[in-house]
Amino acid sequence: MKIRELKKKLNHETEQIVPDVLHKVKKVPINGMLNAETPTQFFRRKLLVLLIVPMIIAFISLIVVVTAFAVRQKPASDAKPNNYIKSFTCLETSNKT
Amino acid sequence: MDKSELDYYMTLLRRGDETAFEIIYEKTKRGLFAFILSYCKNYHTAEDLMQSTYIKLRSSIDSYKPGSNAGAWLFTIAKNLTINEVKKNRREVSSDFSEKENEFGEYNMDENLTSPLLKTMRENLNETELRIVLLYLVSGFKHREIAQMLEKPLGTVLWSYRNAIGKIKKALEAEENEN
Repeated sequence: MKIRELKKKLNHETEQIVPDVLHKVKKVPINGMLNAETPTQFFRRKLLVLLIVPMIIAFISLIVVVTAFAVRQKPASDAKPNNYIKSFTCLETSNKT
Repeated sequence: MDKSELDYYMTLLRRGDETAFEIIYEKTKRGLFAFILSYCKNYHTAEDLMQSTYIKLRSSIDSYKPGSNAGAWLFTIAKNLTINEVKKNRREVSSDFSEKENEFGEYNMDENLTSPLLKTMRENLNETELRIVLLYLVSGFKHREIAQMLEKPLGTVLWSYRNAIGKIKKALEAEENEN
């Protein structure tokens, strides 16, 4: 038997056994509640998503702020003696002139 | 059904066109049912899963991206639902062995509802080979698409397909000789 014949036969035989579920599917209301969830379960799932998203955003913001603060602190503490030396040498040269 | 044609009807369904759903259903039902049957061996479970797949298609049509492979998207929904059902059923089988014994493990198809060729294929091919042959010959996917859907290398899919065709031919020849 050639593949083309096999394909034809298989398609024909499968066609005979396919159930008709169209009318059943069309009867089901589509409201976003899948997998037979009860309204309470659906509400809880939605609420959980609504709470988790702001919490993640707040957590990331906190990390960014803390990191930024820590990074900013270091050069400020290092800058003090340098500025002092710079101003001192400026003063010294101006006195010489 | 042509890939772009199916995409067109999916886009129409996304806009709320109910007639588009009927066309999608008519064009995909045969391939989808054969695909589900390759996972579960019970006709009525396959029917329920087919129904769930189309319900899920309608309810999650907003997540469909126009221009993508609509057929693969639909079959992935079917695959995920079927795998979940199989897993769920296995758990139930372990707790209630007597009632669900033959649901997925043993061949439990109503003889009147089975096609003889499909039965021969089931008897001679392993699950993956059967799935690949059905996806290629009945659902009309290309080998590359099948490889993506089943998460297998293209070479494996091609090899399994050729191997399966050889096995089917041999089995059919043997049946003819017997008759």
